[in-house]
Amino acid sequence: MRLFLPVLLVTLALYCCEVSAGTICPAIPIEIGAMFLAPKPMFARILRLFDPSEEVFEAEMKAKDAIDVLTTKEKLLCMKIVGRLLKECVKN
Amino acid sequence: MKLVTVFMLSALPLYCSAGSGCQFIEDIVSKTIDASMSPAEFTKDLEAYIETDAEENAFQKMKHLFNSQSKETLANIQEMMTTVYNSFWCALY
Repeated sequence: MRLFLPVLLVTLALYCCEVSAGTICPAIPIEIGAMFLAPKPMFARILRLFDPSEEVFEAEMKAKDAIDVLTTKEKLLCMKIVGRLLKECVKN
Repeated sequence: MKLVTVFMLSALPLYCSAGSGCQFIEDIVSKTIDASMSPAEFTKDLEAYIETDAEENAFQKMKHLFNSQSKETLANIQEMMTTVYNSFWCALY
């Protein structure tokens, strides 16, 4: 589990570089990916990198609690769609 | 020290132009957070990117979960995304 997030982040960053040739900031798919797939404490640590206000941070935690209602299978299905959406960034 | 100052000053234009690099994604994020858009409208809008019923159901469920949040929470989530777009981490985009 410990390796999960670094592996996820590296995968997403490489995916973005490969897919979008630098036309989407990797922080965005990383943040989205973490909201869906990372455990809540890891998601929280990633958010802290952006230094959000406490109010914004708490709202993101509520969003994370909401997303975690989805089953793992449902989250992966959502991320499949997100992946296709991210590919559109190449065309912009 | 001078070199550090020159370096930081030259990074400023990058910082000022920071963005997501992809308006398409920004727009979809906004739609996700827009509670006035129903799950059905949401998946219809993105139907070109949804291939199976299972995917559609999952995405609608996700959208419903977002729509169930308070106005304040959704506004703060949008603010978080804007913070990310304008952040140092997106300075080159």
